[in-house]
Amino acid sequence: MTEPTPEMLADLLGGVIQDTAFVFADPAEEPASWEGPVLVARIAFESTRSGTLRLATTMPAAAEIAANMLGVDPGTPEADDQARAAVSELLNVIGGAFITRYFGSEVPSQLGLPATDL
Amino acid sequence: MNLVTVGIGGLEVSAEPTAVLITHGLGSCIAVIAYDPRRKVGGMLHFQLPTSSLSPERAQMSPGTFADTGIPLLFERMYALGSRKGDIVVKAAGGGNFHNDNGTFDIGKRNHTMMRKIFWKAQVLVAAEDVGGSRSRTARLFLDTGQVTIQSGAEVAPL
Amino acid sequence: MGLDLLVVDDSPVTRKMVRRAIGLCGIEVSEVQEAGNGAEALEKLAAHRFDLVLADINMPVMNGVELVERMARDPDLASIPVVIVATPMSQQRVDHLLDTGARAYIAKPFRPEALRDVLAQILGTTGGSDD
Repeated sequence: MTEPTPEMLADLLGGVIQDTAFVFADPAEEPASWEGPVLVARIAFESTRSGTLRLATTMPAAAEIAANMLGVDPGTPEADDQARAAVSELLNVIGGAFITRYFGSEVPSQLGLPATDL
Repeated sequence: MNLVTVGIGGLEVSAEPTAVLITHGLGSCIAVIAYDPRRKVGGMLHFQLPTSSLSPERAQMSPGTFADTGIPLLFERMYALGSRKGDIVVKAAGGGNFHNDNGTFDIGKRNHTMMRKIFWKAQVLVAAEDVGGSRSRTARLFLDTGQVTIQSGAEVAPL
Repeated sequence: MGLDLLVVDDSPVTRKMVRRAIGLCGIEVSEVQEAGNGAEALEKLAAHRFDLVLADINMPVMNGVELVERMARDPDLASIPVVIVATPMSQQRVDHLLDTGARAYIAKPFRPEALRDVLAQILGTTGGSDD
């Protein structure tokens, strides 16, 4: 298994977030400095190696992701209510793409259930 | 045959049975092809970029340049000819990637993503599409039948 | 007479997305019900006759693999088509699901057009477009 690099993970995230949530994401030189609460989703994976994937975002970004996935306008109550669930599901899809890319489709692999903390 | 050429950033609609809407040079751009088989009304948009948010003045002058201004306008122009959303069949072609991977984002894929976002929100299904890869495409819509063809090099195929 | 569909996924967002995509497929639908895991799905299946089940795999309480296996073993449920809508998984797992009784597998992120094509194939409908 190729060791995942930040560039590989960024590429994976960028592709999945575009396909799943219609959001364009580009790698940043510097880590984000966020104000306000940060939503962190995590999901465990198990294959020939095990670990945890974590996805961190702000609540406004999470609400935008939810709005896009649901096909509704940002700022609607539905989008706001489903923000955590949307990020959770996004990480679930990222997890699936991750284990397929790094372990291949011939190797048995398992994903845990996503969880979020604010 | 009445050939109507749709330029880059252009948008045309027609109810002429002899009309053929055509657009050339679909690289990273996307042609959105709309046809109402009930009323035999059709339209074609050739957009270059996904969003107009950074270029509102350009969007004002040329709404067809962007997916988020061009696609709604295409549908408005179809409605003006009597079409209804539920009768319109949508197809798409283009969105290719012609640059080597050197860190720049894939504008063709972004165009495709924005198109899908707009249609998902509008609850419109894309009946067929020929997107991606690195072929340049020419799209034609024949108003009498609603047939759409995509040409790449010498090869012409129905979509 | 429209079809009754059951959408099984622990993500409420995915359930809404699948519902929305079903609405775009051009099939006549009477009712769409939802379940958050395989066990809830079996309860719904015991109470109501569904024409098709769309199910995720990775769910709490009872996952989609066990749901497919249980449906296949139950004479009352074995004939109901199951379409898996799930994150990419090993080929071995896909093959097991299809061998056990699932009729099709759609990978997430799914496109509504993929769902339309699968439903048209399974239900024998024409879908929502004229080509």
